[in-house]
Amino acid sequence: MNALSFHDVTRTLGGRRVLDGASGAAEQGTVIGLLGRNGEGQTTWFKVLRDLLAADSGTVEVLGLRPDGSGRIRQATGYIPERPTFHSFMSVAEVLALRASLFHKWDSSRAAALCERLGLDPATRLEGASKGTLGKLAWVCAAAHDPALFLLDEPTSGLDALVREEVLSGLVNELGEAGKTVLVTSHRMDELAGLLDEVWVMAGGRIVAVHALDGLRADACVIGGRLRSADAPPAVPGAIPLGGEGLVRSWAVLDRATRERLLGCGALESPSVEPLPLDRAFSHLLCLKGGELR
Amino acid sequence: MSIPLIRLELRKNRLAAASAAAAFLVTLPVCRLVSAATGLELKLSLDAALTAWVLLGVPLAAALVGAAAGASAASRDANECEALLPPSPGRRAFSSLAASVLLAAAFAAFVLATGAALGMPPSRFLSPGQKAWGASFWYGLELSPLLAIAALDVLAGAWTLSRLLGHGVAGGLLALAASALTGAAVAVCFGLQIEHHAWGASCLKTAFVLAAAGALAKVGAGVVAARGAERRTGAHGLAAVLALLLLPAAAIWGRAWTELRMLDARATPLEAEAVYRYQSFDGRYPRGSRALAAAGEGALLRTVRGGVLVADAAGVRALVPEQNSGLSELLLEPFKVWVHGSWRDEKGVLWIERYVSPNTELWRAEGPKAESRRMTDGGSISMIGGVPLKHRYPDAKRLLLAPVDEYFVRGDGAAWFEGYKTFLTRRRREAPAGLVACGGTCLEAGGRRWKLPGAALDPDPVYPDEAGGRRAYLVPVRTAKGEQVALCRADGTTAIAWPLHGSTYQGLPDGTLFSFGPGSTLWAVGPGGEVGEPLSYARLSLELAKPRSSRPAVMRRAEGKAWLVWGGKLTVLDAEGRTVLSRPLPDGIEETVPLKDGFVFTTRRSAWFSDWTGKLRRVENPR
Repeated sequence: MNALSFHDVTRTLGGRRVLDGASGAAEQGTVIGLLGRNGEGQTTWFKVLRDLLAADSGTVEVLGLRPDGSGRIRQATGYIPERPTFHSFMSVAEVLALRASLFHKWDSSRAAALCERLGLDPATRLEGASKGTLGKLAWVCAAAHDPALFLLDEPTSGLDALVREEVLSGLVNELGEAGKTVLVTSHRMDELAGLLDEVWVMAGGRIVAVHALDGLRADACVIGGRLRSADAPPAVPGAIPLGGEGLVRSWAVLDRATRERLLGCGALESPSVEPLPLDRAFSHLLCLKGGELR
Repeated sequence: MSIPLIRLELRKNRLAAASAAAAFLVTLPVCRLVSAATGLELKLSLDAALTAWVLLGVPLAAALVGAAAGASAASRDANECEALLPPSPGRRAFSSLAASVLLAAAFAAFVLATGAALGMPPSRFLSPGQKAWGASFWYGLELSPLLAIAALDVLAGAWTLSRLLGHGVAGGLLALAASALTGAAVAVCFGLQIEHHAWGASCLKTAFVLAAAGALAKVGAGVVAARGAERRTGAHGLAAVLALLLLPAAAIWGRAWTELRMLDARATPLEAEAVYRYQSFDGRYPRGSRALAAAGEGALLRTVRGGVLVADAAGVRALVPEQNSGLSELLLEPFKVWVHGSWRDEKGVLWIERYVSPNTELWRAEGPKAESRRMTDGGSISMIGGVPLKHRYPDAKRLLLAPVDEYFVRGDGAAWFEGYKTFLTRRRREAPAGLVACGGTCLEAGGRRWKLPGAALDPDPVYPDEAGGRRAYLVPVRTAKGEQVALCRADGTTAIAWPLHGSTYQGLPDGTLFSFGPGSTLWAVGPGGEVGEPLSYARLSLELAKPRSSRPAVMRRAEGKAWLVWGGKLTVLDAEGRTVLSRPLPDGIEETVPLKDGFVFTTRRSAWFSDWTGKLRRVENPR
């Protein structure tokens, strides 16, 4: 069953088409990393998924619910914004009390346990609170009502190394193991690599590529070699040229089909294949637009 | 709306309400300083300050909290904090609006409670009639609903505009300006005595404001999220809201301007119907109606610029001379001259009450001219038991009541009660009421007994009417045919006058009494007490496409026919309900009053007389 599905979603803001026919589906229990450069539509897409902004066209279904402006979707999902913001006149305990009165499934004992685990003192006043405190509180707020779907926008931003480790190896990992669906964006996707099932690439307001992480690990590689002829460098779709000198060239390849096409095209003399580290693979994915190179 | 969200909004906006409360509290020691510096009595200075706070401070505080809440609802911080929460943007916006209403109400309650603690109860400010200000205009005036509407209006306007603009000061000032524009228009209409034209539009404005607030709350998410990106949408929204706020004010000003231009030609109706009616014996209307008809020549009364004109077959003339209010007076002292009403007493004498600051005048007219009796001590009159009674409030607790000059005092003591009782007893002797006897089957009055054609519906005394110039009684009874009205004639005979349908019947100048019955029928008792057959006007009703609840104005019922003014025409129906005469009348008929030889009616600019054949004559401009 899909926890999240959307088809041909468009949304225009200020005359610019920010979402341009985005389509995709996430199975329940999948942990998905969303890759995309700034301004590619992730923020708007998250707003559409949280039913804060209506799509101009297309269909969206989140946990079986259609966006209707009522807030049912927000009841059922947990969200961590990139820059968590809370009313500065409140304390941590007051923020949690407010949410307890608004979320039907709020579990106060779970909230207390999360506070303790993250080292968050409920008595802390939020005026002038550190980025780390706000980040921890955002985690508690997102998880205490035990949602089935988590939307995490830079969930480790502002957290110190220890807490980040706790969040990544502890919380996100547990969410995945508990069968929760997680959609996460991060500028440091490599540190999440061990937790992800899939990577989605968003560009130009669309999901342009979906890679299973196991496949990426197995197939992403750098293929290098000497060109047989300087006049005809191979033009294989999906192969990302990395440069080179003279006739010696190399390409980053992210999937098996591209790899076989490049190796099989006969343009290279004694090609070499080296595994591509995930962090570099993620960087190369960001260069894709519509499945092609930018 | 959501209680937790309202609590959150109350907390967010408490500073605005606290600022208003602090400003109010600072006023109190300032009053003491003013008293010390000027020698003004402290209580008077506090009274003035509290009155200003109640009448102006509360709407201003409402604007303040509305603007603060609107600006807060539009702020990026608030949206980023609260967008994570399940309630929809609409619910959040309505909660913000509701919280600001609560804060404004709390502020008003705080001001009134402080006044009460200082010995000045809320009624002192909200019911100025109780304050014995002398101006009888204020009698019975309750300011609470007006203040509540004004505060709600300015609050909703400030909230809406501040939310649209994202700026509390600008939104609040714009809303105050729009409300001031409407309020000034209403005040001018009050001065022109056409406030009924203003209320509808000003209520419409409040409704517009609330609708705009609601619409903004509903679509707010899109507008707020898109601010900057969709600035044009915000500008369109702002223009639409401003138009909504200003259009009703423009409509009221337009109306006021028309009236000002027509000041010389302007006239307002003055209880023309009262010419043919006086209240039942002790001021009550027992079951079965009892708006008693007084036979006699009629006339149509109008107030014009503080005077009273009378229009009848002979023409239009001034009964009470005009008391001119110039335009400046109209605006600065709108209630300087105020004609309250007119009453016809049991002897046919017409009484007109006029307030001319600072006195109340009572005018008495038996013929074409009226004479004035000035009530220098203020007060007002009521018609009780067919007699005009002066009344005034010497203080908040007591009421002084006088038939002519002799005062009865109502209040804590028993003096008034005893005196009033004595008065009523005397009146009853003079015009004895009929009493139901024989277990409800008889009526006894003045030593005479009538056998009723059914059982009386209620045991209350029955007050006399006149039929054919002689005393008669109309008694609601239950018969085998249902509830009907029995006529007990002066000669001792009885008859069924008409079915009991609705609650009123009326009199015509020749002494005919008539009533409307079920199925669009007209029933009548002739001048000699004879009961006529019902006449159906159903066919006419169909021809004129009138709703079933609509009724014609009956001008005459004689010779088996009925003369009706309806749908801009004079129509004469025969006994079968067929039209035997139909004459169009000038457009825009306002009032009609039947006379002996015809009827007089007014249009906006003229008074007209029509005889029974429909021959029209312009009487005169009633101005």
